[in-house]
Amino acid sequence: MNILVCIDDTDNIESRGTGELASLLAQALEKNGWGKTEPVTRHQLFVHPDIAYTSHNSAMCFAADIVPGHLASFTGFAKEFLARESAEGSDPGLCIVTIDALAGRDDLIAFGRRAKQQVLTKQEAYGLAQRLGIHLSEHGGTGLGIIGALAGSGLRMTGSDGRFRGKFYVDTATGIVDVAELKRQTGVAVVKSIGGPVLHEAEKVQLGDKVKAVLLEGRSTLLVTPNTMDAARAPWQTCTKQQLKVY
Amino acid sequence: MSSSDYKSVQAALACPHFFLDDEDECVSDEEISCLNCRYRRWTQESFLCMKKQSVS
Repeated sequence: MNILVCIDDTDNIESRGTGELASLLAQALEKNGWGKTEPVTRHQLFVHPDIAYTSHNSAMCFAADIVPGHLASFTGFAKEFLARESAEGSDPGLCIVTIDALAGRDDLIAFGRRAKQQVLTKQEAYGLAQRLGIHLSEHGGTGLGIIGALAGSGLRMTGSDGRFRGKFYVDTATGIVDVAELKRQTGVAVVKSIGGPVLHEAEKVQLGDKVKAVLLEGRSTLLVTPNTMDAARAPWQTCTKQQLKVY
Repeated sequence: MSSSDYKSVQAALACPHFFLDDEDECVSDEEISCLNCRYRRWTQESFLCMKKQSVS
């Protein structure tokens, strides 16, 4: 059974971030034998004075294949986890979407996209979740994090939004690897240039400080750009943080 | 590096409160920059320093 789990607004300015809590939640799901998880993605939401975000207003989401019969156990665990682990002053929200049972996929995606451009309300979020049969719950403070949690689920469902949490460490003596080796070491599905072609297995890529994947067309994707430093040895280079911040 | 990025780096280098944010929230390739600091709060136009130091 495929699910999406998304959390938002679990931190304060001094605490560990929501991404770390999402990763811990995913680890607990696997450790308890409830299923297998996929990596966490970060989804940027609207930044506006009327929204009570901590510093960047992003939601964190992961997909999981959960063993039938364990969804209730996981949901109970996740609710207690958020109530216990969220930071003081935060307004945590939890969203769990059972993908196989979801009737209004397009409506969930539309909600996610709106949350990148508009101020939305808890009432709208609860209304949509109830209509689509999505678990949505708040675990402290104002509970406003439910809006981002639902939106983040919708954005993950688009298959083309957000950056994967963390960065890759690629073992190389020269700082240059071919695409096949890059995919083998990182597990990314695709290496692709921004706005351009998918790279062939033998093409060479020069690695920068940050080797990080984004979610594009449903696949973990490593984006590259034409190499401006040493194109003779490697025609491509990995993207900078600056280039990746729009994802 | 743009002028505003340069200012953010210089401000962070001189700031006693600079604290590197989670890797996932860092957007500048210069590690020590207000743009990567946990105490910056993004706005539609720029960011605010939650330690009350301003960067123009």
